[in-house]
Amino acid sequence: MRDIDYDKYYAKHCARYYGWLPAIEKYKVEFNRRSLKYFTLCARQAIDVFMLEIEKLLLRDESKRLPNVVICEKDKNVALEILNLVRPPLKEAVIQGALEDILLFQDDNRTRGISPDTYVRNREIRDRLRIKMLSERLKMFFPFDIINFDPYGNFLNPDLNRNKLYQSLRKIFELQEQVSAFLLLVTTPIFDIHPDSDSQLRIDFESNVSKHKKIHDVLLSSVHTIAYDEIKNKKRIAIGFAKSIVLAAAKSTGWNCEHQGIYVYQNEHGNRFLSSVAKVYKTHVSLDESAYVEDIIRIIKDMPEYYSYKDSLKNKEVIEHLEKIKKYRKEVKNEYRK
Amino acid sequence: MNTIEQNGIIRVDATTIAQLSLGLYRSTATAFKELVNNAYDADATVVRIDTNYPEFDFISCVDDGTGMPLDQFRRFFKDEGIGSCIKRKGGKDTTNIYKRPIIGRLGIGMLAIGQLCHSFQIESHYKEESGEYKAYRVTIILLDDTIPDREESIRNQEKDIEFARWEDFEEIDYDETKKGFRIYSTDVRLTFRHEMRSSIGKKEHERLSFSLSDLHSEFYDKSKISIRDCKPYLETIWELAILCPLPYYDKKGEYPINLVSFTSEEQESDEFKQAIQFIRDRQSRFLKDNFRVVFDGIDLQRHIQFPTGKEVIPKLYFIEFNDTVADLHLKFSGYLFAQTNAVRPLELNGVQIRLRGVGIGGYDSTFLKYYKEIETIRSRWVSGEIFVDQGLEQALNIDRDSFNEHDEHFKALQSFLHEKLNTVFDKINAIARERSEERRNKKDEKIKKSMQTIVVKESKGKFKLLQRDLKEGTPIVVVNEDKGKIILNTAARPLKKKKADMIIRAVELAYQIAKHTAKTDEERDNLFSQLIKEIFTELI
Repeated sequence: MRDIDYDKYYAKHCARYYGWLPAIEKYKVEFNRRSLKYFTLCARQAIDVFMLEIEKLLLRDESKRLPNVVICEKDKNVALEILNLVRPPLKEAVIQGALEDILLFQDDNRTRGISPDTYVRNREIRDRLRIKMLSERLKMFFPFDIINFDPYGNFLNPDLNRNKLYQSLRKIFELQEQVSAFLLLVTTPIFDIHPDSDSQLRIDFESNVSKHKKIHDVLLSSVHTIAYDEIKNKKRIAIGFAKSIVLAAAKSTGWNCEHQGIYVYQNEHGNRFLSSVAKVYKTHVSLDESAYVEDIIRIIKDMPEYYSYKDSLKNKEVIEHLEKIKKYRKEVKNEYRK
Repeated sequence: MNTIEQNGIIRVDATTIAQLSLGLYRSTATAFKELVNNAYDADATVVRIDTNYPEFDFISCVDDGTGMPLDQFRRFFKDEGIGSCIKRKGGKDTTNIYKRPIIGRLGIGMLAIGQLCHSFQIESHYKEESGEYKAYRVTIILLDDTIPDREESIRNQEKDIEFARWEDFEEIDYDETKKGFRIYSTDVRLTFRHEMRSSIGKKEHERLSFSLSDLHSEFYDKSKISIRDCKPYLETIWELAILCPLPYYDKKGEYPINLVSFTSEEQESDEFKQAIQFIRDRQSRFLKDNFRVVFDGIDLQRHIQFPTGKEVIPKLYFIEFNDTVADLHLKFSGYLFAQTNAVRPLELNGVQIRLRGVGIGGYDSTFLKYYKEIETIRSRWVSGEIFVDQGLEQALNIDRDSFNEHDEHFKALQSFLHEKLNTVFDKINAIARERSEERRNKKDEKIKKSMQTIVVKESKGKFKLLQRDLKEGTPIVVVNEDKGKIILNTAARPLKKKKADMIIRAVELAYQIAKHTAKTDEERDNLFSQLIKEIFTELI
């Protein structure tokens, strides 16, 4: 999956261009930010970072570097490629490790009370201490304005209870507690869904329909059915993903979501991915059910947008935009050689 | 009964070499230099070193060379052991593709990374001799509690000391985009991290720019005497760049030698022309090598800039030697640069020996122990590079950072250099003397004029000051009121010490002016005091 050439992956860029970009621009204006603090799990081509820079959503400092951009990457080889692309423009170090391990790190008997700066002969303990160090460092960077959670794994496989990605998402909500709002972009493959996840989506959907008359009615008027299996796959998963993953994690940690868009796109192998864009904001202890219902209704009515691989190859606007980013990225490299 | 043959061969245990290689290198830069050398020998066009600045918790070195074939890995790590280098097997002296002079001799360079981390992964994507493309990956562990403590093993006189282990070896699919050799480690030594991080305080982090021209300015910032002022991280970058076989930083044809600073007469001399031609040839060779070292995104180049400082008189000398020494061919050439002020940064003072293009041990400020100018100010005025193209390699110590001083080739180079330095220092000493004389004369002239002004002003135009050598026995100051002249007798030397002598004259002069100008005692005292103030301000 990760061997896809993102420099030519126009369908994904449709999601960036039509989804992420306007939502981030809107957030910047609404919260009156000069520059944004951005966390990303970008791919080796770091397109999102350079896109935000050319769109002036990320600004360089006096030393011509991008401050407040934090990248986490699990694969060492990919981390190297990212380093080669974004260094030196990036001001912060890349966090090399699995985000789930870093965010969910907890001391055990081997590491408790030991500083990550301790000389240890045992390699396994050194590895654990390194994760501890990364965990401490990453936590220091929180909160962010934009969190682009585009991980390797699949939120919908394996089942939710054992899903470290879901736990990580919850952890992100917890770590964002110092701000009143932020923008969350979450991406996941939507093929190869685990049966347990599928069942969970179905149960949550049916519970929504029975619990909230408004949702029931909007389903009937928009998709003319309340039966889970009769709803088109893309929409069904969009609703399910928002409800069972994003909103579930948000609600459990005291946040509300306002989905700005959900985008489904296809890669060259025909596999589909979903990217949701939601403004997340603080809610009161007694959860605001009406906001939650409104969000689900918005999704039922207007989402998702779909970008097929084939159609994206003809989308001149998106192709040109991606080319512009690539050209800029090259210019940045050359700039430092002068 | 134990017997011993009359004659025999003495061998070195592989573990000895391994022991040495793990803690061999003088600095971070010299450890990185070994990895760069390997990439150079592998015909790489680029080697990228990343330290994950500013955290320094992830080190990598990736090149696009020919990689390390599996049989080489096997020989290196399994069968024959570290140090079994075959780069020069069969008398091979240059690389296959770019015909670069092969640097490696022993095969211990890769372990230089061991100085910076406790374990690392290597990944090689290469083409077999059969034409088949292959790749593998493996982890090398240097420190773990399953690996015996080396010091203890040595104390226990164990024959085969286990000093490292490899694990997770796997053959992987060849990936053209990863062609070459890569080393990476997240198991970075704390000492390395701490040292690097300590050099990046909040202030440094805020203002650090990685653009090449900004870095050049940083290295030549006038407020800095030494590269050490830049702290360990930038010092590593500078040192690595200087040591690697790389071209000079030369954006406008001004570096390393800025011709504009030399007189046209100087530029016309044969020696100058030879030196400049030599520098240009070397630059062109480095450029032809098609080799880049990118450190944390910076394309390294050798930052050498002469002359440094304003109003210096620069001189350039050429060195060339080509002869047989101890039955072996020794060939070297280079340049020496001298200026009438200290070379900056301090690290460029001395002579840099470059063997096969690679700097050995940085600039040697003793000029290979040149005893005539030890610790003199003028020894700081000279810098130079000598490129050894043939010979001297047997003098190279195992750390590739110093020489065996009793090697015949080293001695030959040393005495040739010292001979040349005699000429260089004779010349700059002469220039310095001349300059000092000139400066003194200028200063005397200036004082003379100021004194004349003071005398005219304070005597309200009554006297003019003249300076003359008068006959023996005449006082220091002679007053001729009729002609309105005060003559300072420059031949009179009341005291031997020049400064004391100067003070006596000043006092005498002030006294005589006051005496012959003032009308009352009070006026005379005030005028004397005023004159002393003014004259002394001028003199001191």
